[in-house]
Amino acid sequence: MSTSHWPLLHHVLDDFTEPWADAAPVVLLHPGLGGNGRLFRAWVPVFADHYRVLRVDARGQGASPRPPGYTFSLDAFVSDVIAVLDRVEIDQVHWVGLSGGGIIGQHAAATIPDRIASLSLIATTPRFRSPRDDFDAWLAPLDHGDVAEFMLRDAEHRFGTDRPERTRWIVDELARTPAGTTAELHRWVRDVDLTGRLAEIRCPTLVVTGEHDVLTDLNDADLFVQRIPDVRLYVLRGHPHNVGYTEPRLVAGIVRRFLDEVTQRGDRAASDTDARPPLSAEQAHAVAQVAGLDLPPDRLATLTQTLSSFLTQSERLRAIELDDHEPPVITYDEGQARA
Amino acid sequence: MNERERRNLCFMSIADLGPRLAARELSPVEVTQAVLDRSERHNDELHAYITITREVALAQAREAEREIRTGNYRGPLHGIPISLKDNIATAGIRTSCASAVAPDRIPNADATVYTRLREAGAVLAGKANLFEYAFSMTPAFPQPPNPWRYDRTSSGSSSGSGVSVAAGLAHGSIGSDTGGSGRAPANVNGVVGFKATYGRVSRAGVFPLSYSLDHVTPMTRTVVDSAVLLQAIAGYDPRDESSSRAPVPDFHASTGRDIAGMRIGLARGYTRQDIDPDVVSVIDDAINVLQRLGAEVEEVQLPYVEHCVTLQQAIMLAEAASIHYHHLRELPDRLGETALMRLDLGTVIPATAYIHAQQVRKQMQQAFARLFTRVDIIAGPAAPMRAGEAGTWTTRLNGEEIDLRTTGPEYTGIYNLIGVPALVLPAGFSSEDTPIGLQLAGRWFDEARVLQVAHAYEQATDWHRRRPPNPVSG
Repeated sequence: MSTSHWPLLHHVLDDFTEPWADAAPVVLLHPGLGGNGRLFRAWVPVFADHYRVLRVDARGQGASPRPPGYTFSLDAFVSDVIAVLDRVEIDQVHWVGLSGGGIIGQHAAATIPDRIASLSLIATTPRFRSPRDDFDAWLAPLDHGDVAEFMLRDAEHRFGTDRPERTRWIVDELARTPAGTTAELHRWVRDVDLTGRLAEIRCPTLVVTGEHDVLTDLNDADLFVQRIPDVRLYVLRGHPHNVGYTEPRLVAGIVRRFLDEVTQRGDRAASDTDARPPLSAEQAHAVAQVAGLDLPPDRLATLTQTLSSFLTQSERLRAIELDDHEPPVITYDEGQARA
Repeated sequence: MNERERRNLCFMSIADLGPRLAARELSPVEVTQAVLDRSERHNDELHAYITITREVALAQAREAEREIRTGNYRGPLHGIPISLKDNIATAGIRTSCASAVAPDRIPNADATVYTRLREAGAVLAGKANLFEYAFSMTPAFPQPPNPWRYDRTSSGSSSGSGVSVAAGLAHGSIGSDTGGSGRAPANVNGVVGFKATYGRVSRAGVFPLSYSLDHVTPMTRTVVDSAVLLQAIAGYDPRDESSSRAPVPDFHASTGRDIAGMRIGLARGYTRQDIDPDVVSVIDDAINVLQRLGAEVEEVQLPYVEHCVTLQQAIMLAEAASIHYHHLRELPDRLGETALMRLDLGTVIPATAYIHAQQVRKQMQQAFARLFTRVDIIAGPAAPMRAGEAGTWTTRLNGEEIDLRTTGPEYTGIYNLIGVPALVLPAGFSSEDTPIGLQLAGRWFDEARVLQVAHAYEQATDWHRRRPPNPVSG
């Protein structure tokens, strides 16, 4: 797939990692239909210490221009993102897509696998289904130019009801995209069906879905789990569709842990082969002798394995920086029981 | 009393039995006799006991009968037959630790927990089977099958404690729990296992596995019974330097309070993908029950869970190896295969790795203290899988073979590392009819709240009323 010749998408690359260290991995945050990168503001600090964070506004949405003649398609959306990656010289991203951003992410992971290191699908589906039988009636508020009315009539299942001021802010952000564009995007997405391509998604994949999501459901999650080879699923009890915007720290935290696991898996594979060669039987024998054990061959063979593996694991443990250096005495504050 | 009535006597809860003993409607001798007969009849198939202490039990029961008759009623455990895991010292009574290293060792002093149970008037029915030294298996001591399904494991290491309680061979038991040894058998045998806060219960006289992780655990058929047993054994003991001087509240008093507004953090496990679907649905159902009772539930992630395997290895194995150093050098042929493997590794764990692990553990405790400002209780599974095949360390989970020694730390061992109270109680069954439990953990020294939530859940369900099919229990 080629890079897009259209004007570059609006994007923000935040980098708070150590400037002197190797370039940090990049998390790409892709909003859903009608959204924009500002909705991810609370996500950035969750990743900022170890990852660069790239936020994009998709074509015609948020602050990204839509030139005349641009037709919405999965290929076009993905090409737009490739153009941004090329511009900022990033080979590979960990793609995090909310809702429609996850649909585009599935297409990207299947189409340009070399550039997608992992895929996090938040509140998304491989094939969109209208929550109402009458699709046009559902979109009517958008056709009349009212984004807020469109979003708020499913407020409970889109945003939850616990924080009205939060809902208002999210809806204001969504209203930055023209209502007509959001309507057109929904009419476009209705015909998208990626179920046949899920098996082509080879990267590690995380699926997070809210239990009370009105636009996707657990059947979609099951499809992902059944068809994507390397997948794990997280269902958030009681949460609505836009859980990525309503509970940014919760969802970003889940994604962060997934990414840490995925990136460390790479590190571990590298360190297993490069940094720490497996212990030899002679070395294990010497260590055991120093400790006072003279082992017969079968026990020595087992110890060689278990000690090698322990030393590799304990490197990860030793990498944890300690907050303080008080003596290792375990004490309990009994006052905690009454907290 | 006919056979069926005697059997029903064996399955009564301590809370139901106590008042009838106090009122002299039943005699401790009668109850003890029923438990001993049932235990002796079925021990060849169940291996729940290493030693059934018939003479001791009957003498203690007669004494209890005499005391109650003369108006000297000691309380809710008076005249109740219980079993003790066979790593708990009993003066004059063989305490084998289920090992061929010293299978006939006879201690000359009682463990503090046994002393306290005797002061409460409890009767020692026998010494329950366990994993060798609470962490290995040896052919010298065959392990009990699961009374719900004989081809499935009864887990461990407090295997005999779990089975004796589940199968009506004791009214309660005391086990030990270093990484889940009390809660894991509670989980698969369908009983209640309660590891109180580190320091709450004395470990003096309990053969150690790992000094800084060992806990002593009541195992019972109901939550109230758990509170009753804990009440008897909790509290400061100068013989155990880890013992806490924290005041011991009335645990029974906390059961029966409603849990409206209780903040519960749901910790599903590492990822849902790594959990048996039957476990997922049992936990989902349990959470629904808690919500219906008014609890507020939010999902939480357990800090440092990804390091638990390494932390537990570094700490437990190093401490165990220092305890068993001479056994390992002088009597290796008497130790089980797993004991050898684990102790060999423990012997060569670098001191710096051990100390660093203890420091990380402290940091982990602080992270949990922060988590416990948001939630009152952490709820979740006690294991990612259902009861596995009997007699092995591996089982299949969602098509993959896994080593049980690597899942324990993330689900149960995590609460030994941080030292908070954690209770497992029956919450449902797998498609193979083996029990699956719900685990509830609370703040340090806040056992009362754990019992409160557990009791509310138990009273809203009837899992604790089921009896296993084996041996005959109907």
